[in-house]
Amino acid sequence: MHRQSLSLSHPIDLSKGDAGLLSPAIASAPDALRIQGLAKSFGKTSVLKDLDLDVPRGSVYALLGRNGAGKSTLIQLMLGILQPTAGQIRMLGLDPARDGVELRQRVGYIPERLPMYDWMTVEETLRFVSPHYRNWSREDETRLVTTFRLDRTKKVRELSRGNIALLALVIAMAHDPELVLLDECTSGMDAIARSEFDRTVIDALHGSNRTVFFASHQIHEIERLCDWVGILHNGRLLLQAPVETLKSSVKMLRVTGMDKDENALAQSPNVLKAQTSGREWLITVQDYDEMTPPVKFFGGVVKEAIDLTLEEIFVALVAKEEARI
Amino acid sequence: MKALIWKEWRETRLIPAAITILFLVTNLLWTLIDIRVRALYGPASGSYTGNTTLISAGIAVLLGGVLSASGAFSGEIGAGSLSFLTMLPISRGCIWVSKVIAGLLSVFLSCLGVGAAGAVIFAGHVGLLKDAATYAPAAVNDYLFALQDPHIIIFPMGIVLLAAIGCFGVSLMVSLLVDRTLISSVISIIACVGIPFLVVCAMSAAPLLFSGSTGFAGQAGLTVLGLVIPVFYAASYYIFANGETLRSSKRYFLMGQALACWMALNIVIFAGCYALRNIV
Repeated sequence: MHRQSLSLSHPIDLSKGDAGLLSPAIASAPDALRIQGLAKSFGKTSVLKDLDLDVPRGSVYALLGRNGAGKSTLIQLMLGILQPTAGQIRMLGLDPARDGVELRQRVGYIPERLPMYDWMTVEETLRFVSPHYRNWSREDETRLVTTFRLDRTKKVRELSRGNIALLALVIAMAHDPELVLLDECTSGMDAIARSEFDRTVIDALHGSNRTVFFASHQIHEIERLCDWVGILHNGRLLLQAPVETLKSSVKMLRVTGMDKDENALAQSPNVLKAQTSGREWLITVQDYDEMTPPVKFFGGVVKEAIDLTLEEIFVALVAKEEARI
Repeated sequence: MKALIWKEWRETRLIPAAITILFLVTNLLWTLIDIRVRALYGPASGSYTGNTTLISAGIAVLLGGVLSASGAFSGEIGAGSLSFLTMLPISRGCIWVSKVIAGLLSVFLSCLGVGAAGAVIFAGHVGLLKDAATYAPAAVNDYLFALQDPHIIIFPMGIVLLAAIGCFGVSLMVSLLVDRTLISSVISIIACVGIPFLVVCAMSAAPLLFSGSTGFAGQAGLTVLGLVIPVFYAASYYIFANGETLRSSKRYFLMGQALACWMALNIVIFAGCYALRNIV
């Protein structure tokens, strides 16, 4: 398998066949989403800058970024709710700016805030929404409402934050969408509700072969769900790669006998983070190659290469980028 | 579209009832006071007449027009629910049309309710007057005459309804520019009073600007006046269909564009009428 180095500001180019650990069928399928040179400004504020992003069909893609990184703006652009300042978006082969209505027929979307009509009951909300979707399935709706134990007679204002999110999930799923967009939809929920919601999402999406696009800053919760990851920072895509490729490329090395100071290490482009603990160093590096693991590092001896969680990788990459700026 | 109109109607359905009740209560109080005053100080001292009913009915219907539209967008922008609508597979044109249909239905029902309530109050007022034998016959005659010739009622009510539809259009545009229903209502009321005043001033000033050619100015003024209502509807459609984020300043830019187009249209109309002044 061809390995491509991971480094800041040089995202993996999916169009060149670097499909990482994905199956060949998915890798060769046309992208569910392809974005080229996308920029979006609100007045003088530039929210997205020259963004290129590709989401393979059938994949579960997590777009990670801090609050205000531009994730929600990107999703609204993808749905045709906002118009781009520059660049192109093709989602399911459609242009959202021109074919927004058709696109929303084929996409399920759960936004960060769920401003439904609080005077409607669950049943009224579903009856209001369903006529707009040509593929709406009453069977799927009933199955999901039963699974989520939603009371159809309850008004939306009487539902908890978690149940509103589940109602939004019913709306997003009952029309059999090809692509599901989840935009920070668990923010504001407590840990238990968030965990339940994630489990429900996994169950609902399991085996569906749908493309799923998460935008989130709650990384540890989506790590086990996604197979692709993109990191958005200050309106730019720092990188995108299959999760396993990323995790095998970014490691924490435990090094001993090294005679360097932290500043010198920080200058190295491959070092994301370095901290010392007595005679031992813990150094987070990118471009780690499992096939030829380093024995020496800056004159020190590499004792161990420790796996990092996606959250730790995200924090290290963003910190490095912020230090670079 | 049916579901959208149903939703809009659910949100505006109380307005006709509220306007009718408001009209009924204020006029009922007024008539009772009037009857008491007449009983105490004589028939000539009364202040409630058929014109009072008509004027207060007109104000109530215009208020109905304003209220039916002022929350159409601003309420949803404030609550954020407009983003729920725009994420559904519905075109913005459809959303706008559904709001206009439900709103105009509300205006029409306000007009009907107020008209019916006005007729009942007027008849009741005449019937309850103690001095009906001396004072009321003329009023009763007017009332019966109006029933025999519906044009007497239909014409003023038609004018009021048209004005209410105009107020609805103005308020619809205002509601796109403001995020709170109350502020939208206040601005709409000011705009609904101010805009006819400005148009009348412009029409009065036109002959002065083109001394000696008053005919064309009158023609152009009437054309512009006739276009005022459709212009507000078109402007609100344009702003909503081309706007993007709900609180974006782009909507003010779009309003500026719509205003500029309207001014350009007015200039074309005046120029056209001026060029044709000797031919027509």
